[in-house]
Amino acid sequence: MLSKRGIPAVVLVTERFVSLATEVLKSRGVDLGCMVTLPKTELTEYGDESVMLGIAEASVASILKALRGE
Amino acid sequence: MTTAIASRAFELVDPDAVFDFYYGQGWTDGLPIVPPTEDKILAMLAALRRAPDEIIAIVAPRMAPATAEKVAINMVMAGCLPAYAPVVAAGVAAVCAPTFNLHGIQTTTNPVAPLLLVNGPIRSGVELNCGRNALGPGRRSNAAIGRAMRFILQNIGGGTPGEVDKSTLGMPGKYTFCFGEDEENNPWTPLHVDRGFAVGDSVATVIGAQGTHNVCHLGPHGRGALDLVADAMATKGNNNVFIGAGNPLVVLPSGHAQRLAAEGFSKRDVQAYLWEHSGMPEASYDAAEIAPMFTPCVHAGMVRVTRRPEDILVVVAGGPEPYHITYLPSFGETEAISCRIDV
Repeated sequence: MLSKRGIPAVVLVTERFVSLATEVLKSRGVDLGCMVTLPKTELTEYGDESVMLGIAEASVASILKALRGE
Repeated sequence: MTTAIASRAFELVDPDAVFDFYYGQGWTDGLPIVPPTEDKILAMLAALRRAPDEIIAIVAPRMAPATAEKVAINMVMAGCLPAYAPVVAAGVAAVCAPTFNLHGIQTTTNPVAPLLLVNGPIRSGVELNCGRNALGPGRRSNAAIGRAMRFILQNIGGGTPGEVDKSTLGMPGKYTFCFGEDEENNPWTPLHVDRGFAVGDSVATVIGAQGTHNVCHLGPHGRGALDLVADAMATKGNNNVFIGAGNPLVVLPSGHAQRLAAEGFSKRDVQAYLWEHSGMPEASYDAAEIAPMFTPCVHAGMVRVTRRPEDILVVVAGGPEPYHITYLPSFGETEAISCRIDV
């Protein structure tokens, strides 16, 4: 919805939920290119801070790329 | 009112080919369906008393319009009779109310499914089972109405099992989940009256239920039965306990309900007793270990399954003997919704 208002936005999706996110984005007319896939759910929702930090750092490049629409 | 059908038609003659085709398209629950022929769809549309393109509700997560035509097709496939049409229409409107949280219910890893509970005169009109085995097999209306709801969620709402419906294990209530309250043997007011409707109204109430938990009580006192139900409710790995929200449901057989009434319990008393006795000491609930992302509802040092006693729904159904009570915990992040059935 942000991207439709001209504000660069990304959707962070854990890998086990890519099919769900794809259907939801399609149903709302959102470009799938804004989707950045993160590792499986239990690492991102239930992991400790150090694990999360590593995932965040590893995802920065993908997030920036998606924000630039590349 | 136009009765032109806009949906695509398929030329399939052999019944096996019909099932194979529909199954291959992902439009079934894995069981054979009734072929939705034009005559059957038109009969269902007539029973819905709506134009084919009239939108009954918008179904999440696809946010697709449940037109009367699409609802009729799914009802035919599920084996519904036209007489069931008003019940299904009210059920669809109810699950699509925002506070029911259909998006969450359709997509979560939790096994939750919408339970459709029917009150009022239409129960006899559609021969809905409110008595023995009300949540089991054997009655066409219970089976087909619940199955139609599932088809509508799947085929219109996009809740494709595995792809969008991410339930870790699922549960049998995802095939069909519908029964009526045994109002005739209920010593208290029926659910729909508690929720503001008139006794003579027919009402569909949807509840985001996780499954059924049997509580067997063979003792002589109603209060003893409530102690066992409260014990079953105080299960730590349960969404109601995680956040103290939602509408868990207790289904009492008339035998237990009448025994409780004879002991002086009103329905409000039952709700208050269950709420009080299902609480667990805050010190015994390790939220950081059990569900770190949720904040439980704590009242007077006790973790509660709901914020208020009246959020625990109590209905009467099943065989009359005071043996088995069913507890249905809820998804938590959902609110029971009732809609009047337009008969």
